[in-house]
Amino acid sequence: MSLCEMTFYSEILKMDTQISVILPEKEQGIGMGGYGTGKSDVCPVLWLLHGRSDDHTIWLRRTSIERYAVPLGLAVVMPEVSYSRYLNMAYGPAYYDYMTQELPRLCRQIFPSFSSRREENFIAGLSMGGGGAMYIGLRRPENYSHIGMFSTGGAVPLEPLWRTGDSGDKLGEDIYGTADTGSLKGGPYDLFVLARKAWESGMTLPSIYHTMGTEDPRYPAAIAVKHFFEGLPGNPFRYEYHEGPGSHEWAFWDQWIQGFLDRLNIREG
Amino acid sequence: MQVALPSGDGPWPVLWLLPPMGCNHTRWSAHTDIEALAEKKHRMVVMPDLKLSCGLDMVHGLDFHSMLVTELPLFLREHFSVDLTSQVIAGAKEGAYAAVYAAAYGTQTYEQVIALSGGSLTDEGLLVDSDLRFRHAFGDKVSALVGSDYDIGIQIQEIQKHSVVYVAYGMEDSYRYSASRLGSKLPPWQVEVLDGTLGWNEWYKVLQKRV
Repeated sequence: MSLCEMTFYSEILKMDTQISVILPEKEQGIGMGGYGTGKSDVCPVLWLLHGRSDDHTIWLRRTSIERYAVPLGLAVVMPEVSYSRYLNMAYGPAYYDYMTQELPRLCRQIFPSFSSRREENFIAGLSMGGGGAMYIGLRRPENYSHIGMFSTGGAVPLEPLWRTGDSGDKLGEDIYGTADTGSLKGGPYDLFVLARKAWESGMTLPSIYHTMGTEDPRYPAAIAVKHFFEGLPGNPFRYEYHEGPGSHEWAFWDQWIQGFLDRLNIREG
Repeated sequence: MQVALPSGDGPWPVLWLLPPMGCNHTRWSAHTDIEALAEKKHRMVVMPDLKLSCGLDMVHGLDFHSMLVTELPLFLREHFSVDLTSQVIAGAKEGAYAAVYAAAYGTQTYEQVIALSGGSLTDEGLLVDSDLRFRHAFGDKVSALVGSDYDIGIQIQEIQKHSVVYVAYGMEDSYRYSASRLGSKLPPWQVEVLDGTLGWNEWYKVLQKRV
């Protein structure tokens, strides 16, 4: 795989920002096979999102994502969004617009090999990134065929289900305009509201792959999400829930990103 | 952040280089020859990313001032052969403001403070008030903060007790007003006024001369 580290000025964010991009190659160095021959020149793309304390480098540093992506001929784009929850912040840059408009356009301009087909675009993330993947994927179901949400608790309406004590009120106010994220239930940030809207829209829906560690304090939030999606008649999101030993930790996400990639059913070369 | 090290052994004194708002930690080295500057001055050049903070502990955002004056020096001391008894801080435009603010309120002592194409943002009035990014950092219209702790012009005499402050700006710079106001509080030999608008080339030349 090639690894590209890019710095560019975002017109929407009005500042420099960075992305890490893994690009598939047919040949690899010692210890790895490539993705073989017979693949088209257009590659599927995984938009892989970080958590609150992280940036565009974290998936590379904490997991072996490059090694997992190689056999699939999968490009992986990893942006940085600070603590924004991938939203247009009330007091801060417009990260949702960046993620859904500017970044895909820029990437397809620079990397013409990126597929623009919905069936070959996937979005996933850990913790805050899982909430971001859901928010973006549910609002833009026409752009993604699969959503991966790993260990998410910091999203509306999940926080009151598990968070006690100081919830980082200042940051909530910066993101939503209010520190009381519980008050946002039922509104435009509510993942359940977004899911119902997407379902009722009649559009083709992304599948949802959801994981949580059984020792993670956010576990109650995962059960609430599970109940919601399993309660939808006919399982329109082809929702899958997986839990396993682990807390809010990278060993868990390194394991389950592999499970998500298997779920994408991209044939190895 | 980016760090450029001179050749040879440490401990190295430090030059902090702060970018304009909207530029990140890569821009100084992308637009100028930072490694040559590090080599010539035999200083470790440290270039942090201050995002949209103007070097402040943001009212809506993260604590970039504390990071700059407390956390990063500690990090350098832990991991590098560094001489923190000799530090110079410089910045361009909003980075100039951040540099002077760090000298005014931070925990480090800087031999030199070099403000390139900028002064106290509180002096710039409507120019910055119309940009929401500043309000997120300052928490209010910046022009309303004249005379407050954000007004670094008030701190200049105090800073000068420990540091030599230089201001360099162009006659066509967007922040020429605040730069000239800052310069008016300094001895003439510490102020450099140039023609036109200053950019990366001009800022680099000032650093080569002044550091």
